[in-house]
Amino acid sequence: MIRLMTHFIQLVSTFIVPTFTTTLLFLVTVTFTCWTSLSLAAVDPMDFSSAPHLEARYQELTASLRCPKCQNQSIGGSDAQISQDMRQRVYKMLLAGQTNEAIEAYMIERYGEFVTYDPPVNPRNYLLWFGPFIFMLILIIGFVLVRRSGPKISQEDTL
Amino acid sequence: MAFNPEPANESKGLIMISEIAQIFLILTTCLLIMFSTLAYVGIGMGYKPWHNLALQTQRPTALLQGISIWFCFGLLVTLFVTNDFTIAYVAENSNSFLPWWYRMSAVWGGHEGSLLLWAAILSGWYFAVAVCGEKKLPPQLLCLVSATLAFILAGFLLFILFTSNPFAQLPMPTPIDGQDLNPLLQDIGLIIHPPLLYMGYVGLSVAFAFAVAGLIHGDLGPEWARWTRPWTLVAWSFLTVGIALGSWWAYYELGWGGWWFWDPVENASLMPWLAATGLIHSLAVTDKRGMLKAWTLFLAILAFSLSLLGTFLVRSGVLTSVHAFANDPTRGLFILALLGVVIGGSLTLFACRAHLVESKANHGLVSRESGLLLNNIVLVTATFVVLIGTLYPLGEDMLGMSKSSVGAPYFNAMFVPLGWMLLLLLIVGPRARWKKDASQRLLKFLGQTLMISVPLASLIFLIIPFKFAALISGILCLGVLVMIISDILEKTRYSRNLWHGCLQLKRHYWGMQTAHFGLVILTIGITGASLYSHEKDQLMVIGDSAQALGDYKAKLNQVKTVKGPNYKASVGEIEIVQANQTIVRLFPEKRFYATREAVMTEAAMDASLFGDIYVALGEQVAADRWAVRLHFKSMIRWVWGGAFIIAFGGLLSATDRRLVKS
Amino acid sequence: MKSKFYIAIPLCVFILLAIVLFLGIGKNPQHLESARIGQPMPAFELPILSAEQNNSQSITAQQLIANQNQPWLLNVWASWCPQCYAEHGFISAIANTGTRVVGLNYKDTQDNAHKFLNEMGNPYELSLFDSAGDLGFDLGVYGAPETFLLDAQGQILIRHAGVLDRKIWQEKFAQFFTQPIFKPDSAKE
Repeated sequence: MIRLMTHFIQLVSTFIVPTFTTTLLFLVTVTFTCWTSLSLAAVDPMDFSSAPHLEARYQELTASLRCPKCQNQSIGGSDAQISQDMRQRVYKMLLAGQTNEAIEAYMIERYGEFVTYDPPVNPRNYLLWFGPFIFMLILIIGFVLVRRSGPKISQEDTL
Repeated sequence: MAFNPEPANESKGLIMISEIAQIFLILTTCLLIMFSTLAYVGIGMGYKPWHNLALQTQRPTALLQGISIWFCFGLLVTLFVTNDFTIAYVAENSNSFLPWWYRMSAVWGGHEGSLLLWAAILSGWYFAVAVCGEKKLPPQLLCLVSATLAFILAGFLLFILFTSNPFAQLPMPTPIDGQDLNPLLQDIGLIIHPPLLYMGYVGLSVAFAFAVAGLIHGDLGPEWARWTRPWTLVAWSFLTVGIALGSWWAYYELGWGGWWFWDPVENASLMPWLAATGLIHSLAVTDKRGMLKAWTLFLAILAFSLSLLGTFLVRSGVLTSVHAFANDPTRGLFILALLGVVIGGSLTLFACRAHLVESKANHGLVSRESGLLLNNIVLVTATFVVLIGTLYPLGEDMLGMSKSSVGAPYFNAMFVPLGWMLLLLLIVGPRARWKKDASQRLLKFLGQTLMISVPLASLIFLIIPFKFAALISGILCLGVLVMIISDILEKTRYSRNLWHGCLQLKRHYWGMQTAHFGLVILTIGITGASLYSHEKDQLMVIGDSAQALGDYKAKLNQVKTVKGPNYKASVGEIEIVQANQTIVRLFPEKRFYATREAVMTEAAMDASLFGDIYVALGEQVAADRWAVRLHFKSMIRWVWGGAFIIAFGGLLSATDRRLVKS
Repeated sequence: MKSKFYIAIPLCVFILLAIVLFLGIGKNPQHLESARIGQPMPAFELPILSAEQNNSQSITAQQLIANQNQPWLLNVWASWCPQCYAEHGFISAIANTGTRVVGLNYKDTQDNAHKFLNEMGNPYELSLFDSAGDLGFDLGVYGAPETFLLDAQGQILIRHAGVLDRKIWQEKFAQFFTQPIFKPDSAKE
């Protein structure tokens, strides 16, 4: 009886195993692998000797732009080919005197809003940027209202 | 992967191990389902014939399931240590060249094994609750708490048995050797981070079970909160340590010095932590004043629900993350069903029965209760921020809009003001009286505190560059320190001397002050690491290249090739020089692991109180030229130090005699 | 009564959340919609991949999109991309139906590109030689293989990232053609 149950479990699992394996295979063939190990954090020396004040901005931008094909990494932290290309462009555009916004807009134009970790404050993202404050406001109002509905506290001793 | 074409006759004995384990898992699942049904129907719904049977089977079930599941877990460990590659999970995650301690921790290195760890830890908590609650809790309540834990555990075991069986066998032929553990995981971090994290994550199920049991029981007396507090505090402390360890591990392992990335998996652990922090404060109010019962119940349900949600997010393939386990829609559906039953069920129960436990608000607008409730509001808002930020791309995708990414810039922008609010509340909150206080009195405290902290904080900028955010953080942190010191002085002013006064103070008071002090340290660490760190990527020539990093110069002396147990490495020697004196020699590595063909960066760091010098080796550009990353991570150790102090405070509070006695 | 209303809110929020999560299962979170859909082909001037060393002809965007009267494909390929080999058969099948397929040789060298075409066959009307990847970058390409479908006026209709096969063709591309380009009984790949 117990053996039967073990085998039943194994039987069911063998149906589930091919299902998810094929789903996985499907996903793998449809996408393409980002082989470069995430641990080889991209050490990519750019020469800022002619403009040292730009280095901080470079680090800021490479941290806030996302590698389009990686598993959630910034272009500063990824060694993928596309990340390297993007870093090169950021570097060139910085040396050419572009602002951070212009560089971000350049990337968004080509790769969509997905490519920046800093969602712009436009009507589409109002929920994201203003939601928390409204949420907190609702909670505070609720707190005040619920407390009002309780009995009045006199000047008796407190703990 | 080479294959052994001969049938594994000699391993027939070992095949039996996996079958034994599966049998025990199935039996335990049946036992748990039987008991929870008995308890829910017999006690929850008051079905008389099963009532006594439920009470009688409560203890044996708890003991049996604990022994059984840990036995199965032990069997899985045995399979790994003995290199049994007939088992698919072992073959995928281990290798005979792996040192034995990594072979052991590889047990939870993949999806199936980590789930078994989850189940084992839940089993442990269940066991502990049954043993400790034996004398203290009324038997019916204990039965309901056990039934809830049993129900959840059964759900996980079913999930394991049906979709994620670590004991599944690899079809013949048996490989000669395994695929090896992912090199990133071959580290002490894997040995300690998941177990401690799960202790916290899973431990929140106890508070959840108490809440559900309380709602079913209907009569939530004053002791309910007192019983729930120690369990919640211990779980929360473990979760704090678990998250801190995860951050520390990412810092030194990933090679680029980041310690918090707002990655979905990190967020999945942060959300229950935030809710649980709110919960422990809310429990304090419910314990002390018998108020906020419904809110506390809700937070207890919320905290564990977020744990379960985190489990879902990490394993279902719904979000992209570097940390995610094997992404699989089928498993995702199963966990979602589990979520639906557990969370949906508990929230429905809450919606139907919370009115029975409602307590009338009985405190002034200005009071300690209000302060704690505001604290809760800020923490729940923070939880909301993390939730909405993490799920936003998913929501957009669902609505057919083009996806955007929500990352560090958003979360930092939201968390900085919320953190400041928390610290501001912390300056006056603990000084506020229970039930009713006067706002003038509290404003006076605030004023006095600021009069000390503002000038002191400003002095710091004589030695470090001025940044506005650092000023605010500095003022608030010093303010909290002033509050702690003045509160201790106030509480000990009638004693013979300070030392005697301190001894008189209860352990849970010290736990509170310690944890708040830890928060100050944590905030200082975060401020320093975020605002005052330097970073530089350099091309360095071997020999006499020296580049500046703030005060320090770095020299690349040489790069050697070294062979490790299962890898080959290029080891660089970097000498850090300050004012012509060598401070330290660091040895960053670049390792190549043959089995997985993976390359890994092992950064080298010199830790000190005010910051780390962090170096990583990049690509070899020419025969004598290497790309090197040099970091100075200011105050980074204060981040984890602060977190450990917070956890210590939590444990101190949990062991307070009042909470532990029957 | 009032409190009863508040108390049911968490449950409602959870149901909403569960729906969002349920709909998210099975979707590929890595899937990235192209930002260039509905926009014209970006301007460029690139050499054409040619066997002869001295014959380095260039072509501009305007020239490329001119004189088309039905949708056509731009296929991003490279010799270093393993999946391009897998996809090549299907691309050739598309080219054999008479549909225009233009290649974009992405971040590759002349020698390797030629080796690839000699080995696998050349289904492309022509291949743009984008060794620096500049046009690829302007198009929002982040790897190979990728395939763009453009209309007769040179506007980008869709972008598929990954190997193109019959199934995906039917799902995404076929709708833009007034007549199916594959005969029902033609080979599957």
